Amino acid sequence: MISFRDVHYAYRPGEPVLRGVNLEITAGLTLLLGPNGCGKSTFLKLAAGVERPDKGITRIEGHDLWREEIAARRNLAYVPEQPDLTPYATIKDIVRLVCRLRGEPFQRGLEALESAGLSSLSNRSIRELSMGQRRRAVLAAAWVGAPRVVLLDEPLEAMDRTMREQMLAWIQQLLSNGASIVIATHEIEPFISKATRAATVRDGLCKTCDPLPDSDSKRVELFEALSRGRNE
Amino acid sequence: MQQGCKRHSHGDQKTTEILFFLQHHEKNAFLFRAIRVIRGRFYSASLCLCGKGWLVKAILLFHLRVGVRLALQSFTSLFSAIVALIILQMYPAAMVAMIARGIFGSPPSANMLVLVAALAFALPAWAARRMAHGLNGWIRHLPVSSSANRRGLALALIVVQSPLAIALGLLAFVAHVQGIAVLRPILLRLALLLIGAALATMPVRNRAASGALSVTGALLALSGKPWMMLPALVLILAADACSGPIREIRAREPWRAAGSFIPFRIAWRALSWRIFTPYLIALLPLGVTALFIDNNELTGELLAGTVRFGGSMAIVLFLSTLSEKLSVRRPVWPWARSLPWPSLRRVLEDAFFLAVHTVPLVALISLIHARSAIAVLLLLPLLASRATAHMRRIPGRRTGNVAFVLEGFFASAMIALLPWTLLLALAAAPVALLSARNQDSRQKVTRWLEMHHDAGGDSLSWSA
Repeated sequence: MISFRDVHYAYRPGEPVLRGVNLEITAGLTLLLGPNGCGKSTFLKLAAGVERPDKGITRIEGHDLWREEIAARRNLAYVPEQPDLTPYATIKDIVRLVCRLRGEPFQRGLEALESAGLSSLSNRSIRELSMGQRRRAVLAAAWVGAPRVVLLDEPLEAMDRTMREQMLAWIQQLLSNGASIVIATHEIEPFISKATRAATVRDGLCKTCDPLPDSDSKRVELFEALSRGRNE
Repeated sequence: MQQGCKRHSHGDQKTTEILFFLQHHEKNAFLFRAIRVIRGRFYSASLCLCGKGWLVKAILLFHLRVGVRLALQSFTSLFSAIVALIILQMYPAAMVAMIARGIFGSPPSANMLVLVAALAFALPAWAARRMAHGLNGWIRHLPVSSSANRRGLALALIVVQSPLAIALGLLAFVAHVQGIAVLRPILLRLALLLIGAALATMPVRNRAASGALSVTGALLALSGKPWMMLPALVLILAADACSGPIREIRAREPWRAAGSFIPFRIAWRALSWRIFTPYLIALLPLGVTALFIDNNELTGELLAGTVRFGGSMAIVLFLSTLSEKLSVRRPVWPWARSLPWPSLRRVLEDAFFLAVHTVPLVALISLIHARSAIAVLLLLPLLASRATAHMRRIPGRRTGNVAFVLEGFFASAMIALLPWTLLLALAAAPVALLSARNQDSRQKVTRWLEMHHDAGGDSLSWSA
């Protein structure tokens, strides 16, 4: 479960992105929708522990992300939109690091690399990779272990057809295992029937739609409206 | 025990039958109430005599076993270190005899007693957190009072000190062989020290009061005056009485090794040959210092002070340049912050990376003046921690690392003029490290700071 309590965040003073967000996201697939720049990615960065709130508390499975840093991140997987990996590490370095930190054998990491089609590139440094390959590397890192909280920022962007299928299959598997997944995306079609709830960030506040309408057509209408930032 | 329980349940059945009979006869209502009260008391008493006593014993045995296991763990490293230290001496037997005389002689050596006291406090302090796992969960549901549980833990912590107790016993024997009368008060004093130290490290609700009382008691016992024994004992008993139940401790999640120096390898790869530039810059103040000493024929404290200043300024300039290069060449890695890789560890790794690379410079300083090199080494933890904190502010600053250089200049001047401030610098190092951790976690890592970012050949960077 992801929990935000009175979370405030601004990149620069006087320009708040989030203003007192209170939210709890339980198991299931939550679609985070909204126009560009509304704060979706910032929301995910705060939930992933990449950025620390200026005020308020973010918790993952009951653990404060900034007081119990290890426990909160133990079962967390985050796939950012920009795969901001350090350019001087090799793919193998990254996967080895993730395996060590998550307490998984390195063999699991190698298997994840194999699934992501990166085995032959594992000794290349990140700066030698294309954007799509970098995203695969981050995805392979997310596949290590059995995460219970998964945060995906535009997961289908820059992915070829095979990877898209693999990604959707992974999401389905996570859902059947009872994980909490938050996906920030503009591409709503693959997730229409899978979504449990929808959320949006508007004027620094987070609003959720739960439960969602049963019919797919009504869901599409709702998602379209949220994506365009229209009032319902 | 089982027989006792069977008897107990048989008696219980009989009493229930009688109560049922009495309850349904109005005339016997008074008798019914009386028997119910008596039965309640009987239950408490029987539980106390039969069940509770057995459970208390079980819980004590449980803690005893835990203590023995931890004692065995500490035994290996502690005794190996002590034996290695003794064997490395030119006359090991004389060394052992000297230690025995120091502890059991009359009067005892203050240094030896401080060493024994330090070990007596360190061993249970080391074990207390390890035992925290077993204290918070399942064990709490057992029908044992919190005081019994606490005393069980105290017993375990005392047992953890058994390697030290054994060592003291052996030393007492050596002292006896040497003809020193090992008096009972000395043994009692050491026993009180061990108990007091164990109680002082207990994670209890009223830890401040209990800790203060038990530490005072232990130190009174150690002071050696026979009339101090009684107040020491009273204080230790008071510490036990006022300590309250065991405090719930959230066990720290263990850090996992990142493995194969991955963060170091990444940093080296990012810096490449640039790692040598800071050395060239650091050689300037060192060269100036050497020339100044040669031309002015300095001696004594003036020489030491000059080398302390010049040496620490060399370290400051080195750390400043290296940390600035690191922050530009190896910018923060936002995604890694979502991994179970705490900010304190990231900061420690950076501080260690910076500090390790100063070793050649410290060696050079020691060639000029060995004693001053030690002073510079003592200042290093503070400087490395501060450099790590400043490193995290460089991307947002137009002045680079100037603030750190000014801080370093002040610290160097202080240790050159007032050498005792080194103690302050050492004490401030952990605070500086925590401040660096705070700096790390408060960084806005995904804010765009193009001006200070160096692409470093990254094909997808906008700076390329």
